[in-house]
Amino acid sequence: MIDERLIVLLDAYLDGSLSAEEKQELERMLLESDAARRHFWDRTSLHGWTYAAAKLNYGARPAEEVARERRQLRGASFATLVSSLRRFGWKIALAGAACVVALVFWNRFHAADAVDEEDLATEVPVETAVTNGIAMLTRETGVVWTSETNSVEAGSQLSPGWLQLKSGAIQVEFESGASVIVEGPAELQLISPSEARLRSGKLSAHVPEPAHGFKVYTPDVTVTDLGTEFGLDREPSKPVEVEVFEGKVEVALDSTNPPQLLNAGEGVRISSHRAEPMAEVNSSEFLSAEELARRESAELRTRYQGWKQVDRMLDSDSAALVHLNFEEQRNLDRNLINRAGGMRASGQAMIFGCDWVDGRWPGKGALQFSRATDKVRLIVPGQFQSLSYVTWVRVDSLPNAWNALALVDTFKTGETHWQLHRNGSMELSVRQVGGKSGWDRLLSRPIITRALLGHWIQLAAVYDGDEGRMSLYLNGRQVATKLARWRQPLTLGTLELGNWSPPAARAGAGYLLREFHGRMDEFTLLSRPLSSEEIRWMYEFGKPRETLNVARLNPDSSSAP
Amino acid sequence: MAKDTQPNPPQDGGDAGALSDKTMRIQQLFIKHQLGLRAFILSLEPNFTDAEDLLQEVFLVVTRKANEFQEGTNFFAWACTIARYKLLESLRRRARSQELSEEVIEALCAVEPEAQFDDSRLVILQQCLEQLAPKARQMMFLRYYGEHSPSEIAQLVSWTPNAVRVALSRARSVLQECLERGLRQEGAK
Repeated sequence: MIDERLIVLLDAYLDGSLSAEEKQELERMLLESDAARRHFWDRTSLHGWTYAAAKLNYGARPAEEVARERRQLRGASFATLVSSLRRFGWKIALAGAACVVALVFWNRFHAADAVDEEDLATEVPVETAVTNGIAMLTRETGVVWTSETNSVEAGSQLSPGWLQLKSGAIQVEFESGASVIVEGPAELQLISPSEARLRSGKLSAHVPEPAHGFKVYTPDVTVTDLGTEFGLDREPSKPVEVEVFEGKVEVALDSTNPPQLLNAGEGVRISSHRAEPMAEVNSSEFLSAEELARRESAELRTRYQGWKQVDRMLDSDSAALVHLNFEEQRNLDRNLINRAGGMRASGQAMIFGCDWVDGRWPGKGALQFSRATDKVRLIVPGQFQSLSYVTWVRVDSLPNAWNALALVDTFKTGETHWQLHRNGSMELSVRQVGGKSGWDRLLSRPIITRALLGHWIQLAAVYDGDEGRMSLYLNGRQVATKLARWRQPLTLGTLELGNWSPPAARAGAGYLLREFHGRMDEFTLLSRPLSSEEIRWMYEFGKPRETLNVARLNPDSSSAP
Repeated sequence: MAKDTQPNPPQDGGDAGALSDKTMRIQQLFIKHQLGLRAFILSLEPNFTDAEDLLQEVFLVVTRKANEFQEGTNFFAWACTIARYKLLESLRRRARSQELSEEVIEALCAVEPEAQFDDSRLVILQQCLEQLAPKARQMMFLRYYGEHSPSEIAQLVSWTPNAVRVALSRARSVLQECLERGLRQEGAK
């Protein structure tokens, strides 16, 4: 016979409504009786399993059905999401948390002017931006850069200059083929494809045959690699150490002394211009490429898990029309599950063409858009006073005058377009009347710089009908904003992601091709304006790496008109 | 036709070689047991968001300590122990009004409740949930899918908080009976 009082107390415990006295009473019962402890598990395991069952049952239903049930939930608040994101944020933040906080309060406003279509001809395509990369950042883990100018991420081209690492570790591959691992705190200057300068820090180099002759300068010594692997340790208030693990290196103290040759297993400690032989060398004191890769991969997994757990909260925003996160889908799936649970949530999305590929993290689903026919299509009926778009994409190239993010083809008043220009600027536009002057456009300056091509970025566009304001965002930061010229309801109808297929008769040939080239692994559309703080938080939790939080917006002067 | 069950992209794709094989296997075990683990955590930390945080911490510890796990032994029990330590640690850091004391938690875990968290219960409960009377189902939907507290639900459906608590409690009892019936049937097969 189950004690009814115990059940009442257990339910109050599960619902978070135990008073202090009730809690004492419950604890006493649980300590005293084995049967009570068993009842505890019977009742509380039901709590956890019902949670899972409810999520699975409702998550699997058509959006309309869930939306019907959800009518009870007026205003499932995004405020709750933001507050839990905030809390979650401190848990997950590994490094650079201070930068995050600083940037939350750092918004730049860039007024933009409307452009005529003729202006498009004068836009400089992103691809023509010059680059003088001599190396590439291939891996990174736990990186905190000392200065904003350094905020490159794995996969970035590196130009000559200083890399200043407060903590963490990076792997840099030089164009000569030499590759170095540097552990912070460290200051490394990239000089040429076969030369670098280490002011401080721990460096190990792997130099394959074609790169022999690779040089690392330090204030006390110059190391020239003649073989394969060596380590260089220059920490404050300690003599600099050079250790050879494989092959041989040449060590030169200054021009007056002849260079000294070190073989595998040999090392020298240098102080006051003298090189003392070391008793033994120890490669395990340096971070190995394997260990670096392992740490990086663990970091990425952690972020992926963290994103997963907060991302699903978007589904319960009552204004969510579309939320595609490309998760838990199979490579043959031709439809995308719309996880939005808002009252006006749209149905599922259809995939045309497009290959399933990896997204922001290894294992995360995404779609690759590369052919002129690749697209995702869904129907978004109705009129909206406000709309917010947020997506995560990896832009590979911008081959067309306009490159579609989300376009419609109604040719009606209120139709809303979101796209990227060939020069890397972003545009949100709403049709007012026919003809090219009939568009209310917000155009950013070129924000997709060459350095961002091939990297995952968050893009967002907000039409705030209450304020009458249009805004654009890149990686959580506002990049353009203006007051709308007209106030009018917005319409979408058949929404196409990554492409545009208007009836051929309606479209001028020059503007017909708008296919997007790149990957998309999340798309969200809400029928309410998102605040810049909300977009900022969505960025913080969606960004693929922890170190991305500074200076992606480093103005690239070469591509600015 | 179109019955390819290969998830894409595969869980262990991409940089799989970067983690040790063992760590990978242990992470797979975590993923396999993650629903049961979350349910276990929710028993001791009924708040959904706090439980989610804890689950994430357990994932990190499991990854870090993968090498300490003896393969072939009970992964779920091992992960539950980690979850328990993590919970106690967080309670020591920040005492909360609703959580049970350390002593009670230890006494409860001595019962070895792992059997309660076998996945088979989930399947039965999913069916039970569908069989609930409409009002009870709505309560469960709001509480568990919408993650609303009883007082929030009270506002949404214009009831008194107490009426909501009673309704939730009844719905739970119906689910519990249904679950026990389902388990007995399964055992009889």
